Amino acid sequence: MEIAIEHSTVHIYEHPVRYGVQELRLTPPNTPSQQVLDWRIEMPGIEGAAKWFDAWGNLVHLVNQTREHSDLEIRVTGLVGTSDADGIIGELPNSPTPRIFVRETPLTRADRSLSAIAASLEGKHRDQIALYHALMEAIRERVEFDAGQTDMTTSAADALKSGHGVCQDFAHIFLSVCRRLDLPARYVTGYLVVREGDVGAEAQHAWVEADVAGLGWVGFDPANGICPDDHYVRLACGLDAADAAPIRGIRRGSGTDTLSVSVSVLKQTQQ
Amino acid sequence: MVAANGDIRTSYREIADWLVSQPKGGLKQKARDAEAIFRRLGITFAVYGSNEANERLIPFDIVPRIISAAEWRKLERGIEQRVRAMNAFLHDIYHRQEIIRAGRVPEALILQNSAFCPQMIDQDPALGVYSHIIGVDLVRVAENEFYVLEDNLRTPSGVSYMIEDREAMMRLVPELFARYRVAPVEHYPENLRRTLQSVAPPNCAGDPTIVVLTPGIYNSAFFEHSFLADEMGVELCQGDDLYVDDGCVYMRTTQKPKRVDVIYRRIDDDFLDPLTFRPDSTLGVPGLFAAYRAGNVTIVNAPGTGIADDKAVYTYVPQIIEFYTGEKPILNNVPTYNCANDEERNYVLDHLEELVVKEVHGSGGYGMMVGPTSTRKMRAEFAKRIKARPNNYIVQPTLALSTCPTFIEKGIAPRHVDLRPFVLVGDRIRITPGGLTRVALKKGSLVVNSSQGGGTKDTWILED
Repeated sequence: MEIAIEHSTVHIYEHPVRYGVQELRLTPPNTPSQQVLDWRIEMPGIEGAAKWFDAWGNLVHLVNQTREHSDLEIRVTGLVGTSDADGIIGELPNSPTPRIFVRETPLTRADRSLSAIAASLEGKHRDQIALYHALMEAIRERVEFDAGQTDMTTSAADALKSGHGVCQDFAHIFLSVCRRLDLPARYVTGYLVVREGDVGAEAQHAWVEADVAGLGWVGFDPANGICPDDHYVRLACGLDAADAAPIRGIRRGSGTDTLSVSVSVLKQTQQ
Repeated sequence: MVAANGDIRTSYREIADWLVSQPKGGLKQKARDAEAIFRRLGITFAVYGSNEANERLIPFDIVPRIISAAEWRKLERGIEQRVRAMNAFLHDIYHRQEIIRAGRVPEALILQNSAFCPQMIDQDPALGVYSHIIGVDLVRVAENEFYVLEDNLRTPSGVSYMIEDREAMMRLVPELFARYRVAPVEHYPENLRRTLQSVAPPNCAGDPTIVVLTPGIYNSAFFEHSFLADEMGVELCQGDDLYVDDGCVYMRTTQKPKRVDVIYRRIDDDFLDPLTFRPDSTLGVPGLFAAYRAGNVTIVNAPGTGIADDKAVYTYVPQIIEFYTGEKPILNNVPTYNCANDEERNYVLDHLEELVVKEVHGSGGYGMMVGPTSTRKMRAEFAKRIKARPNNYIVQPTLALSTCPTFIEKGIAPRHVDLRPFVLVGDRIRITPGGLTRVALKKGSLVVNSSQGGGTKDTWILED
């Protein structure tokens, strides 16, 4: 399948900004299930951007603006060819040892309820894949997909307690339980061609990858209860949502920042 | 100063003669002169958590601490071995993690440690050096027997006292320098500058531009930051003076911006770059870490070196040295009890009055308890804390720290001392023959930290 993506992030500042700097994890890698056919990031300062690979092998752009400005648009357009590889990613270039991804973070720290889910799964499944599917089921039984109940800073423990969450919360709960079981798992950002019945009506999506012996990294989408197929475009990975954030920025200037995001992820019809 | 058989150690004989020959009141006068010198130099030290007297002088003692050439040679070899091993360890745990795979250090101790900096994974600092500036805390318990208390691989302070103490001594007691051949310490700033130059990024053309990055005048060691910048002839900057453009770091100047190649930072990892570390930090430079990862600037010491001087990792340093050097450690580690182990914890709880308890992430003598001088109430409190969070504490035997003659109100008396020599690692390892000797001014006290009322002495390494 070919997927066309248009992702625009617009900041409108109350007062002029003298200096701004952004870190972008907005470039998809080639994987067994996706081939990047065309990809472009447009924004002021992108010509001089420093490009580097972070600890997890994500390509990062560091972009800055030194001229005074009152608004900023980060515009990403691209075309990605995808196939269904049962979620298997394997090993991507520049990846560190998977064991690093057992590291707990503030957003994925397990509390008693998360530990209880871990305990209920331990030793009950014939293989890791079965365990991960059982974990997705367990999360979907306890948490209802519901935008607006949680935010960027909600931890896995708080999301589970509230019983509501978005894809980020489902992913954090998955990671927390895996790490409790000493199984490496990581947060993944990307885009989704939304089908009928899929949650995450917003086409920006998040899921996880878990390390499976013999296969390497395998994707799981706990919010939808499936392994990613050819409707998914993978961007970046990290220890949690904060770590893998597609855009992080800082500006010098006071006043408010009004943010609007529009994303369109469309299946290209064959000519 | 006094050997086991009661004789005065050879190295101190001249000092002993000199002390005896001083006229009545002469030493007191020298002590007053010393204070005047330090006031004029403006060397002060801020003490956190005390309301009054936010800044005060660190007491200076005019009786020098003397280390023989032979003892120093052994120390030097031991320190060099240690810093090589620690830099190899840092490279390994931020790359292939062979030491974990080999089962020599537990995986969780590294991966779950808050001092481990995942952002540093696969980063290759210039010349492979992570910790460039190190201050190893040592104590001497017997002739030729030193123990390492802490490695201080992050941003050790105190080197300005080493230099200023020497300067003060040369003014106060020039006659003593005629009787001893004392190794000079004044080359330190020059060696620091050379070390920093040698680790400039490979893409830096020409003479690298170096800056010292300070959190500002309210930091307890601000004096030292400005002292070192001055001595090296480089700019002293705060976060605001620097900015990132097109992936490189620039310094604002009165003329056009100047590209910066090497940053000797005296701010903690957490505050370096709000884009990568603590987002609320206003001390750092947004984008600095990206410029570092892109290979356009060197950060000295590298972020994430704290994992190597973490108190819980300390226990494994002897194994770390053997793993990377294939040699037995030359300097001893203080034996350390692991409170997570039931048997060792029970021993600790039964013997608190003879042990030293330290918080794993504490520093500067805060959050610690010295058993022999503790009260029953303190011991009960620490027992409770150890039981609640055994991994948060390390426990060590109380060492019989060597003492050094020290001038007090009533004359000369022995006081406990430690020693922090300063090591520079770049194109080569440079160890300054000297160091900061800290002295516990309270009788019997073993806590030498300046934040806890300790003082300093000049440290004399004798030349053959």
